[in-house]
Amino acid sequence: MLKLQKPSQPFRLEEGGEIDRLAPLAFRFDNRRCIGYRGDTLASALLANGVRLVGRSFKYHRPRGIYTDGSDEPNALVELRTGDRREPNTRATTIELFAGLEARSQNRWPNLQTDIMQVTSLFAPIIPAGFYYKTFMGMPGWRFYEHFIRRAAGLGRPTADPDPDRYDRMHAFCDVLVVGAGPAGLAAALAAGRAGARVMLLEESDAPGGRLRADRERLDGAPAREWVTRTVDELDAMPDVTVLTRTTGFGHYDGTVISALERVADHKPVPDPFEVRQRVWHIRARRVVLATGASERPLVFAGNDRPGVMLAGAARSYVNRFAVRPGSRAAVFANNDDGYRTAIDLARAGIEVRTVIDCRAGGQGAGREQAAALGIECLDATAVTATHGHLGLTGIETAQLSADGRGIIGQPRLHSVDLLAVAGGWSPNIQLHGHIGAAPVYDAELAGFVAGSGPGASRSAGAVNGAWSLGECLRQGSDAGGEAARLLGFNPGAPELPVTEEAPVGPIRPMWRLPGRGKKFVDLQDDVTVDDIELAHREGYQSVEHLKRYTTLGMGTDQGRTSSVNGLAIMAEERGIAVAEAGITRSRPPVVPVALGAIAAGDVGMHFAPTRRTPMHDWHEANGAVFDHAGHWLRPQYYLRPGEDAGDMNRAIAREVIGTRSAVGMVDVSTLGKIDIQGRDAAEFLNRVYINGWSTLPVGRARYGLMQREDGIVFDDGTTSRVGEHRYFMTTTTANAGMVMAHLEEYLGVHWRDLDVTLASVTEQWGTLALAGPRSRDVLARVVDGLDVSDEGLPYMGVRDASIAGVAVRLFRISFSGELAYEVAAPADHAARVWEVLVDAGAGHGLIPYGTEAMGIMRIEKGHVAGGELDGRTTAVDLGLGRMVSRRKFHIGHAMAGRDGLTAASRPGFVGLVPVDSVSRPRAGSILVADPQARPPVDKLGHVSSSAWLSPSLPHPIALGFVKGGRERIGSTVWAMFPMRNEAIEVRVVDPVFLDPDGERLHG
Amino acid sequence: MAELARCSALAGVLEPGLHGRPDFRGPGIVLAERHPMSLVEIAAASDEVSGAMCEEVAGILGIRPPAEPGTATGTGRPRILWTGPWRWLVVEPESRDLAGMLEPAAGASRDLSHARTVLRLGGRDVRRLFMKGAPLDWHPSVFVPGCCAQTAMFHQSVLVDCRQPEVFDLFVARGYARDLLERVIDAGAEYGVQVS
Amino acid sequence: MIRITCPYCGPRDHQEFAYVGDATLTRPSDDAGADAWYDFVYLRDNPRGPHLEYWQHVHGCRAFVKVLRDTLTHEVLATGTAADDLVAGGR
Repeated sequence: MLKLQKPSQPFRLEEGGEIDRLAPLAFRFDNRRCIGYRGDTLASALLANGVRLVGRSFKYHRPRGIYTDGSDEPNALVELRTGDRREPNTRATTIELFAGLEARSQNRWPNLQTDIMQVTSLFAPIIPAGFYYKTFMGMPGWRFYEHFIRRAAGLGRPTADPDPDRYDRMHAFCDVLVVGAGPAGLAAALAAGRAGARVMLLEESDAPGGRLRADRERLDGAPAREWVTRTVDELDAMPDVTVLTRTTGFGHYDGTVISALERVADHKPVPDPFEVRQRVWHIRARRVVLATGASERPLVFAGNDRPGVMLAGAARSYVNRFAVRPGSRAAVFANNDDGYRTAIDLARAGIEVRTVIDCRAGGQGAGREQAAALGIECLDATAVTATHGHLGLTGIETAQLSADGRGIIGQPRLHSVDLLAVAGGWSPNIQLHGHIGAAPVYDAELAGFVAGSGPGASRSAGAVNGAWSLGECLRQGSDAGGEAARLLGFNPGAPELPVTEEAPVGPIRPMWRLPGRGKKFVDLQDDVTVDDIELAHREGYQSVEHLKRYTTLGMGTDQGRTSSVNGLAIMAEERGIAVAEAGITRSRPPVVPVALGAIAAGDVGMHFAPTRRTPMHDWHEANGAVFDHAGHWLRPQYYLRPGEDAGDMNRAIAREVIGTRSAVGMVDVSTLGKIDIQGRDAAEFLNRVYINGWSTLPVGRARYGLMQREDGIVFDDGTTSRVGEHRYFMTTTTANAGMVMAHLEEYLGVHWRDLDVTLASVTEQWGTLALAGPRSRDVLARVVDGLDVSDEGLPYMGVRDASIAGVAVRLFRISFSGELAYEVAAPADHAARVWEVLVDAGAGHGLIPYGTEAMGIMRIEKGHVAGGELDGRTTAVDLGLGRMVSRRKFHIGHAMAGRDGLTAASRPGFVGLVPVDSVSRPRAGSILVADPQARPPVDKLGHVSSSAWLSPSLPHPIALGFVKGGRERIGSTVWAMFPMRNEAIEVRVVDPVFLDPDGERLHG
Repeated sequence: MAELARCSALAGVLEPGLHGRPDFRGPGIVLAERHPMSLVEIAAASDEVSGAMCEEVAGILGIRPPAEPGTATGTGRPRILWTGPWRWLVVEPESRDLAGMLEPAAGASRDLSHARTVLRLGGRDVRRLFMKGAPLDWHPSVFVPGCCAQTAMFHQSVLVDCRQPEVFDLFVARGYARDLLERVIDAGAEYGVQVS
Repeated sequence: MIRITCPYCGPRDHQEFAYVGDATLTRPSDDAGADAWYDFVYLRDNPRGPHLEYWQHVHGCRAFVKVLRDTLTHEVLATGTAADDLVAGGR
């Protein structure tokens, strides 16, 4: 088997690297079968198999290859996996190879080699930035064009199926968080860990080491990997140090909080049973060390996007870490000494390195001599001016640069190469700094932006801080980790740094764009060229933020990590200002793409929000209840009988209303808010929070109360009972239970701290039910012990303790339905039993359970106000409850309720509405007007607040609403308009109490 | 009043057995409901009343409510947990009329025995499970026995009482108990949850 | 993310709290007159910098916490109970 693989990986080196040659892994790219090794990324395995063309570009469909070796990859985006796990736009450079991996190239048709959309490239000169919008938008038929435009410029396809995997969220705390486990991060974690701090260290790739895995560095006289291994072993042995690999810090927030994505199982074909695929960490650290390294920049020259052009650091990574030759005949193009280091590493890997092309005229470090000694031609003050090759690089042209670097001297020279490694300098990865507002500062010596000081407890170390030498990275890391520990009271001791062997290097020569004819790509992912930036400049989009939005520069999955600095520097040149003055765009989370599934974690499906169930829930479920959500609560909406389905909803609701009005019905009202109020000042407190008075309420009685907000608008209603000398039992509406509790707590906690009152929510302590209907007393009498439930024993608005089937209950003679009715409160663990005892006792009396629909209809029939009326805009007077307002005391809203605007006679008043044709159903939300034909603007008379489409007790639909003039309009007609459905219904204004206006039923 | 068996919010929902990944070391998390429990909240509206109330409660129960926020006193019969300024929850397995005993002349008391469901959670991975649910520092050197905390776990208000280094009581509103149980079992699946 | 130190429970995520409102205002007396009530109910400063506000620790001890918070940097400068006087240059 091994024998067969050898020829299948023609670009694999015989030895070296961190791959496991004893663990071959089969995978497919498009329809090609390939073999790689454990330790490969998809990108390195493709290169080992000689695959250089991996995708087509976003806009021009140009052939593209692998450009980087990490998460900043702009080009090699593939569709990964199949079926319900198919994911578009994954970066081949970060996908760890696993057995059976399937990936497909994107953005090509019919296939990668022959993509017919490549013709767009021919029109490239006429499709500059903003072309589609400028040309097509606003034209008739934009929606038609848009479909094709979006198809032409698209990337991969996500699956449309539900995600089969599990995602997770983890909240963590530590003393020192180190982001990035390159040399600086490792040194920082080591220093803090040795001091005894709780440390977390995050590493994006599969193992710590950073550039030490990709470069041939030596520490303490041995390959640097040995130091990495030793350091990781020491960290692992510390009990309070957590090293998370495959974990990228993607967001930095106020309060020194870092969010990170851990790819727990993305390196496996599928997660193990019960294993999560990805986990988002929210880490609250006391100190943060950002050691996020730097991303290499391309040089911007003509044809710089062809497969075979690659960043120099990535080329070194492929030969050193992955033991892969990314080409056979190479040239290196550089504006700094990384060019020579790259040439040397490539040559050592057996690649024929023909030339190092250096923009600089001199001043190089020791690398140039070493490269020359290996027989590599070194060209100074030279640039690549063109590239050749259709689907992959076959050659380059070079020419001597003029002194200012803007032109060329003499004739270009042709070099036959299939790999061009490009070293344009490094951009510190300061995205996490930017999230919390640290302003980027341009450092001319580095030709890059480093992070200025920002808020919070973070500092940077290593390449992100502009440290290019290994020794400096280690020193900064150790210092930062030690300082963080010291600031937290730990003693870090003296740092122990490994000895480095580094050759001196010369300075970089910033070359933001190079002369030559042809497309020069700045942002490869978004197909933004130098021409686009020049156009943006001409059209006035000159600030970096405008430039970004006009050209889409830096808006891809790579967030412009390879392109932003080049782009804004070119703009600065156009504007004739310094790069420092132009600035750089503000970075925002996330630094890398994060799946929404990972952010949602377990908050999906039924757990999107918590679900709250009443004590009688199981009975409802077993007896045909169709549930509705009321906040988090599940409430029976209506009950279906065996053989019925959703189509029988109206029949079920009518049955429940008629059953209740003619005999007896029972509804679960456990969801009402219940607040226990105790204290010597409890009555005074109620006087202040309700508009009506409470001083005279005797023990054993309930009273309806109405609460206002401070602005005089009604807030909530409910009954409150006096259950002891200094003890009251308040009920609130289901919807406002939490808000009322917080409202009352605020007054006691902030404004009236001198009152002797304590509150507790007892909503969950009691299961409550309402028993309503002419037979309700008969049913209750059969089961209640210790209480006479006659009108004398339990009068209207009376409250008594009793027992039912051995359960101590509290009985309330109150009614929402307008019927003779009771509410029974039982301790929650016994409530289902009490409910069932009543069901049994009611069997001979025609007892029927009813849901929220029947409850709503019955209260509308009685003209009782509820959510539709208490909508945050109505006053007690509007609701017809003005007589409740006590004049003898102050209460919340007292001062503001008397304002002119709230007392004007023109305010719409509460009325009932009946369709003139007795058939039409005016919708809640309809606007009331006088003339249905009137053209806008129409004078609004009011609106429909609640509507019962069927009122089994009456021969027509009914509604409640507010109309100008209120009760004075009774008898007249207005029109209920619902323009969204083109409805106009003539309605008669009537008294809001449709049924039993004298309350005879209520008193049995 | 005749003794009646109380019906837990988790009756018929709590399925004994292993949920999630089997592990040769045994389940990472063990879970059981503590039921029936007696829970009584005592509260006062001022320092003076609170002081008098605590004095009285100490006389009745032989245990003084903890003065320090976020701590608990007592070994379980009863245990008194700090739940807010001038407010505590007195907790014990149901065996006597705790609510009837606790009617101090100063301050207020309320029977909340039915208002909360109490889960006992233990095992080597239980702190990791809590990390998934709530943004609190659950490190064994920070959240130690004797600590209690109120927080939002899986978006629900909970009270967590650390009884032993790897044993916790989790109090949740009765109506949310089933939802929280589902979340706990789901989040704990990668460690294995043994329900008893 | 803002971390708020509850004077009772210690530092917690802001998601455990509910924002209540401006803590520089004092509820007027019941008969204070229309202008005072208008100010209290409707008028708010919107300072750039330190601002004193109430947050309720709803998922914790339910106490009302005074928070001196910089509206520009989101930094929490000080916290205390409703009875504490935190105003130190801020408002």
